[in-house]
Amino acid sequence: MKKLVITLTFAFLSLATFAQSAKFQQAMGQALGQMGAAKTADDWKNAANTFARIAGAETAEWLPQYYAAFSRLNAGYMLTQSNMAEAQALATAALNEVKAGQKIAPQESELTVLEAFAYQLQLLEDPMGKGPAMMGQIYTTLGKAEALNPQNPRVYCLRGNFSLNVPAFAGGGPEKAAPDLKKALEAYANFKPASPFSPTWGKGMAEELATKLK
Amino acid sequence: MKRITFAAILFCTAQILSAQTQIEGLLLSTFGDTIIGANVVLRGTYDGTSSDLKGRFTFNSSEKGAQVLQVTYIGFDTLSIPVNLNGQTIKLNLKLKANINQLSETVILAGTFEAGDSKKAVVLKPVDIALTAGAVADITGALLTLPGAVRNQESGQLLVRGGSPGETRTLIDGMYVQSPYNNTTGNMPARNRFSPFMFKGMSFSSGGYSAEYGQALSSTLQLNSSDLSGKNVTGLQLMSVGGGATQQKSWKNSELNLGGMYTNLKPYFGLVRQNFNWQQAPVSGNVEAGFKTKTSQTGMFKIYATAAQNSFDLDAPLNGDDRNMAPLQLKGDNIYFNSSFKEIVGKTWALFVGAAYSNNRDRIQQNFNLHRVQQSFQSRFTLTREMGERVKLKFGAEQLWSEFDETFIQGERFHTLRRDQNLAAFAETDLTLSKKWLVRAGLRSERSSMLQKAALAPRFSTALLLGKGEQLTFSAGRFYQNPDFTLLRRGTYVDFEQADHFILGYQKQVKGYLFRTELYQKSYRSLVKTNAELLNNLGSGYARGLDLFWRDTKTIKNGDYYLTYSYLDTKREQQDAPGLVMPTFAAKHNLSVVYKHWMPKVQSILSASYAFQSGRPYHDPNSKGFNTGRTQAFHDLSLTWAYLTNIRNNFTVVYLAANNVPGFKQVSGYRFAQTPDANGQFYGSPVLPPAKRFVFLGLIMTIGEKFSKNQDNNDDF
Repeated sequence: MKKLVITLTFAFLSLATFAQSAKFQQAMGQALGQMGAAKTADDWKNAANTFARIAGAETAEWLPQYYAAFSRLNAGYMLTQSNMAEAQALATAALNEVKAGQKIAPQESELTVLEAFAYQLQLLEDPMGKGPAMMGQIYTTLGKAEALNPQNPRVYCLRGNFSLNVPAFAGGGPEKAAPDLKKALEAYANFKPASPFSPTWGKGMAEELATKLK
Repeated sequence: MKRITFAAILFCTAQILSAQTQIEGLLLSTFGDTIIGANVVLRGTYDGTSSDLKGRFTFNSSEKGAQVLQVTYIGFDTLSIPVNLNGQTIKLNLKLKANINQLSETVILAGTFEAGDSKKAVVLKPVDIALTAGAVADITGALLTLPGAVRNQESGQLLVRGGSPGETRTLIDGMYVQSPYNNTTGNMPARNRFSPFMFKGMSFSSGGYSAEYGQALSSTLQLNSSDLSGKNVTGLQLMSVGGGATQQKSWKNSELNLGGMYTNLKPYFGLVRQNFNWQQAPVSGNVEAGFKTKTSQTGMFKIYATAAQNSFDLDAPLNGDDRNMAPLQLKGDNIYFNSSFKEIVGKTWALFVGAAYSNNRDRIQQNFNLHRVQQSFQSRFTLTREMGERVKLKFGAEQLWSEFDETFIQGERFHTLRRDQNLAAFAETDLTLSKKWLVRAGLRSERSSMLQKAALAPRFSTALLLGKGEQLTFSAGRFYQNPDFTLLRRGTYVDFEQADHFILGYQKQVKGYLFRTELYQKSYRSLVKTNAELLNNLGSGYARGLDLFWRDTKTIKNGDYYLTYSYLDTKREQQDAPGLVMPTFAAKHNLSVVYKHWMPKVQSILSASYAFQSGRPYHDPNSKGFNTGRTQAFHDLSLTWAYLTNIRNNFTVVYLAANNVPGFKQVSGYRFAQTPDANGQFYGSPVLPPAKRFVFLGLIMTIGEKFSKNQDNNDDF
């Protein structure tokens, strides 16, 4: 009988954990679906809000923070033409989420990539004025992400993209971007996500950028 | 048994799921705006939603009992309110409060031109200043293309809306700069001492400025030094007229800057013919050092010191008669020191404390001998507090001690020593009356120990936001200034000089375009007159006009231009003028066109500027009137070519600038002999610049963190 009670208690506890975990899986799945369907900046912002809500409830998970920041940055990049002030506010908010994620997973290369992605958005506010100060910061951050995980394809994808957009006189240009984009394509081919929710984006972007080199 | 338990658990879960509570509501800002896309969530749960295009939100939750509903939205304070979930629909009308930082970003634009990267009202950036053709990286040169500024080719100084050079006050980090220009004499134009790259932004006020500042009848130029850059960089400058080097060293929370520069125009003058006969070409050198450190998360301490020396010797007309030349020799020394500290105290107060010291010495010799030392020491503090989202309060006090010590020998010896201790206090409040209506009102009191006078200066400005990027502004204020020390050689029994400003402005900014216009009226009172037996304050005057500014960065691909026009109507009775006359430093029409073109293929920025100014008055002692002569109109067309490249991976700019390319004759006035000739005529001759054209070639190289530092596979170019 005693044994039965213990077994039942364990069963109940693991079921509760399972239920909680299932709830997380389900919420993340739905949120990723919402993000995948996002077309407008508002869609991206709503997806970011959904991830932010999950992040608020799951304080030990870095992925919700990651996707909240990622969605906000996508919204921000879409707004650079029409509303730069809001785009910059989104960059700041995304950086806060990246930092929150880094508290949970300090060694996570993906978060560091996102940090650099946010800096790139900040740079867009005034490329001529901010360029000299922020370029080094962006390369340094991506270097850090590379050191944390040399197999992360998004490091090379983002760095290749950035180099492609930096004029040659300032240390960028196609020749500079080429080795990174090559590495990115290789890394995407070999990339195995650590979990079903791990970031997988950027492959199409890397392929498109690679065509620009020719 | 097991099966029953499992079923029971499932049943319970289903129970919980079925007992849902609906939460709905409307989100508005405290100013009544719809809040779209705010995140609404029951804290600690997944339950929530985003507000829709009408600010509404609806969601269901299976949670029970006391919970906290949290609303987050960028730029607004997070709202948390307790709710009780019991199955009954909860309806809420919520107001979100704008984050204070967000609101205070809105600035009242009247009379102010901002240049920097932080504010919305950006007109010029430091890099624009470096690339404005005709300016040759001189801050003043670039500002002269803005509306309200009046060119004075012979002085090189910033004159604003009919004001004399002394009516503009230069400030670095809010602290007084006594001698912002290098030492000069004999119609040799001066340059601003400071490099535009030292500053993260500048704010040029052409009138109606804040009660925070005083002792300037016309305008203020505020230069704000850069914060920590986190970089270790060496800068090298090679120029056709000299060279310089800077070194920047960064630590985690601090930064050290060292620099030095030497220029000598002798080789250049050997190549290009000059209007002046130089005994010794201009030579100058300066050294500077700066240190900045973050004292806490919010505190910043800065210290900056510079010392400079310059000299030249040229043949100049003796007693105003250019048929009779004699060497005119100048030696100048300058020391400037500035330190400031900013910190948030007691969570809500922003404290600023600063101190500045200037020491400037001129030694000028011809058939006279002039030795002049001017010193000043200033200390000030300000405290700022945001009181709620609608009220900002700022107050402070300052002390400015200055000394003027001059010995003039021409046969006789005249010595003037003047000292002044100026004490001032101010209070100012920024009120956000509605989302569209901002008011700033302030009061400043000043007391001068030398004049033994005190004065009270009210200032007021208001902005009405008409739409996105569109605002109407009005500004009025009273401004006091000590008469220039050079007017006080005979005595100090006079009062402050005074000016009242009224400015009405309109601005519209849409992406890529900026239009701005201002109408102003300035009334001068109690100006010092020197043509009576005793000095007196019986002078007066006015300046009124219209400024226009248009900038377009969109229409031309890779092109960016701006147009400014200023109309100025001004007369003054001051110093030795017998009545209301137009002063020699004023011009009725001022026009500038500045164009920059970025050519990515050849990595170059080509810049051109054209300036027009209608004739300026001069006084002809052979005519009956006073200041009735008019010079011919002034034209200038300047070009700058900047080539951006990298040498061994170090960012490098090669810079070629040519001023007055077509070689227009630029007469800034006429000088007349002090004594009449045999026919009773005063001999006159035009005042011309040192050379028809000026050509400058330079190379600026920044040796910093290598771009390839983190890309060891990529340094193959």
